[in-house]
Amino acid sequence: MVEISPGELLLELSGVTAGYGAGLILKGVNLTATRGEIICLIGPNGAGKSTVLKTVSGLLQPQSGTVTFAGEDISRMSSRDRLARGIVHVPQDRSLFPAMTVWENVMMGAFILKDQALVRRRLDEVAALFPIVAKRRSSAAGSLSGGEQKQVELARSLMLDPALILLDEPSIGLDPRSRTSVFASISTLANDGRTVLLVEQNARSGLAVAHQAAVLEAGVVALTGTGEALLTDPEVARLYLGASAAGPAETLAKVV
Amino acid sequence: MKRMITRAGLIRAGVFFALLIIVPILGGPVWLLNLLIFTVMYAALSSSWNLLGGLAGYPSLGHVAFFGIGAYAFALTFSGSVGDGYSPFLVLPVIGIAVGLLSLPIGWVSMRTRADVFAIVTITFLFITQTLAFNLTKITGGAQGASVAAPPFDPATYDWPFYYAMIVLLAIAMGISFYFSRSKIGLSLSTVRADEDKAHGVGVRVTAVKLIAFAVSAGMVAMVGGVWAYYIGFIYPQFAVDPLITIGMVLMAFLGGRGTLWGPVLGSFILVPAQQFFAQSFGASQLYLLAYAAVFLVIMLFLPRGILPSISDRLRRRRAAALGAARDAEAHTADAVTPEEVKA
Repeated sequence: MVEISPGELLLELSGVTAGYGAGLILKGVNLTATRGEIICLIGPNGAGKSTVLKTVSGLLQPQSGTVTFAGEDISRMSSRDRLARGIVHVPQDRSLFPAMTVWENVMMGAFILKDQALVRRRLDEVAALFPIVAKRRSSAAGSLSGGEQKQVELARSLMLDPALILLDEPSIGLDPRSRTSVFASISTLANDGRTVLLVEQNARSGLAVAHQAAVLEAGVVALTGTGEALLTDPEVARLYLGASAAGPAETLAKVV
Repeated sequence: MKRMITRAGLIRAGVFFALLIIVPILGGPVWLLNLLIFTVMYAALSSSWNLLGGLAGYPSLGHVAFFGIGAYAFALTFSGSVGDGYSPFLVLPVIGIAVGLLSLPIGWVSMRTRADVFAIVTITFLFITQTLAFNLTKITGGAQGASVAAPPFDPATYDWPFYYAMIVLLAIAMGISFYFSRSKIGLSLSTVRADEDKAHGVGVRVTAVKLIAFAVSAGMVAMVGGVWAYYIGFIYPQFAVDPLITIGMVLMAFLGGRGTLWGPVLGSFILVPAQQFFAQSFGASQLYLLAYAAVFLVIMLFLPRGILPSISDRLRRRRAAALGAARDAEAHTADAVTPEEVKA
């Protein structure tokens, strides 16, 4: 794991281009994240939000530009090496192994660790933070509801005590109550000086928990600011929040 | 849940191998030992196939190619003389390692595909190998076959060395299977079997672990092929690279239970005698294959996951019903699981 003092620059994307096959999805992304922050990335479908996360976690190699983590150029590093440096990716699709139990799944989060005593200690810590892990430990992960599975995924992401957690649309497909608890958990993840890079279609909730935010538009960062600033920016509200900055109630009133 | 060395497991293995070992000593009809040699051979083949097809979830249909390569490697090495007859057995590990290494590029290419496509790619490899065996006449003798020098064994116990060699290979294959299932390799393989993308996500070295399973499986099958060639004495391309042998090892693993330690063994001890029985009953016609297939279909119809997993599921359900679900849940909570112990 990497030791970094709070407020220090942890992650820097500079001029990153990337894509699948022929076309480029990212066309020169510049983005920075400091330690201990929640950064929310919003933008329309196809803007490249998930692709940004993949270039950081190593599932996709950038075609040009650099990804720097804790002062080290990790652009060409394998995803396993990035895991070992403390970068954990929680993908948008369900990533638990449905046939394994909750306990085993959480344990898989520490797969690359060799020290079993450390794994057990982490497991206890994680189970304390996420009650579902202890409560449903022997259930097959596939038998849990979508919201519960997401909680277990978030719990698993802590097993490596990562410095950076990449969350891809954690609230997608969840009912309002599960969504609320997921956003509460995101704040939990960001404790202990961890950085969370969050991609969220549910932009209003995402910006509300974020310290910093960026708007991604057609493969480039179009706008950055604090979460609060973007939340109250009328232009952002009009384009990405699906309503005026004043909130949905007022919009509804207008429509009616 | 846990796959540890338990007393019950040790006793089971001890009794099984002790029984196998004493059969020739007790005596009995000649056909019995002959049948046992082929039964143990298939158990070893199926257990080796299971390392890849069962544990990693890559159902190779081309494994008999490695069997044939091992057989030819042995036959070509010992076409002139086998000395005292025992030393050729010592060359088997060399054949196993060489074929294991040779299989790496084949595994690397074929395992870029999955499931049905992988089955087709590997079966293509089988037919390429058979065609090569027919046509590389300078090396293999082509359709004329290749012969191994006859060992100077005592006629009364002629079959024994081959039989014990097969038992040793079966024990090694089962030992590897057991080791895999309780090590990080087995855990990696079970995540690969479940979903490779997810396996990547938690840091499993997917390609490496797949190649290990492929090479070990292929090398084991090649060693069995070497013993087979020695026992048969004269090998032909259509028998050394026989699709029926591939089908045999796959069916036996499916029948007994894929991905389990004892499943392939159980499957072999049912199917090989059944096959022999039908072959005798229906004479030289290929009709026995129909009966063979019928046995398989009936079992698959009633125990689709194979015999062992179906039975253990049923037992567990019955036990759970007897104990009451609540107490069962409690019992589960009591045993902590570390990654090593997660069942593969």
